Amino acid sequence: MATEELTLAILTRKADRQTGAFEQLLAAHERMVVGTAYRILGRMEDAQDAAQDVFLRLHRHLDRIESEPKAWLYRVTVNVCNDFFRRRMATTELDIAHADPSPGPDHALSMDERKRLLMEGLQTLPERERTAVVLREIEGLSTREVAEILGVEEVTVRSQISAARVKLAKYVQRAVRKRK
Amino acid sequence: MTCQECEDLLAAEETSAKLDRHLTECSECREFAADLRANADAFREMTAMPLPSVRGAVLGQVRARETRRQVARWGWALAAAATIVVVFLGTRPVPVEPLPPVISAKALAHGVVKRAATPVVNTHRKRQATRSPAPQEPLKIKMFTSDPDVVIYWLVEPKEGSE
Repeated sequence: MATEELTLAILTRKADRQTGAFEQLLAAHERMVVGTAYRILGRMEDAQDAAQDVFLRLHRHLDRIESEPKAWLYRVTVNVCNDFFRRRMATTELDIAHADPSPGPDHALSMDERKRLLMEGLQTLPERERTAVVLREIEGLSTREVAEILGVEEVTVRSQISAARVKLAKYVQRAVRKRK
Repeated sequence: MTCQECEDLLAAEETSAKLDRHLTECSECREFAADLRANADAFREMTAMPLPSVRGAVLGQVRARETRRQVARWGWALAAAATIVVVFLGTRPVPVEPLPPVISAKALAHGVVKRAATPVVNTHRKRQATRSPAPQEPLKIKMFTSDPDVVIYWLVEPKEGSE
């Protein structure tokens, strides 16, 4: 029994050394992955599951990733989240953390209320438009970076983002009019 | 310029004199432009929101997986070592005692090998043979599996006649 414990202890220490580099990557990119996943999926619980999946894939492919893993992480996050989204197919209600239950006077939209509506609106967009707008508008990536991550032309990204902006603005406007 | 054209230009973040002129004349499009700007601000603010950490959960899973993989690898090494030991024990040549010389009846009749005819008895060996054999410990091989809760013990009985 003591031998088994010793063996396991040795193996665990070895595994610790191997995961040292991975821990650094995890710490550096955790926020980026969880945030992107949350904006694509609209539910924190799903976003956490998706982020775990992304980092486990990173750990598996660590030796194959030569350069900075940011683009790789974004690409995998988008793919994992889109798979999650398709499986879920908008059956569950959103878990928007910043909902503002009391809109301001004269039906003016507070910033928190606008954020909540935008998160809702994101879930109504087609997959490509939602992903493009999350990466470009929220994550602040350039059109070229978004195009590389999604594997499409820059012109396609521009068109998807324009379409998404119009749809989101109209979604927010509709929500405000309903309240009046 | 139509309102639809105006919306498309605003969403694409393009500027033109025609667009500016339309905006001065159309309150709906001005409202739409204000909404686009407010949405962009809201998106930028979203990055500052607090997010939960997944570090502990991820590292826990990674460590468990690494340990399982290492244990499985050692299990294979032990299984290979056990196979080699078993093969070695099974194929090792057993020492053969020399047979007593064959004496022909003719030679016996002529008394050529009178002395040799008497079978030589190795008293030492006889003593050894009559003594009860010492109980030999079976070879115990311990194999780890991919499941850390399952450990296989392989007991190899020494082959009869082998020392």
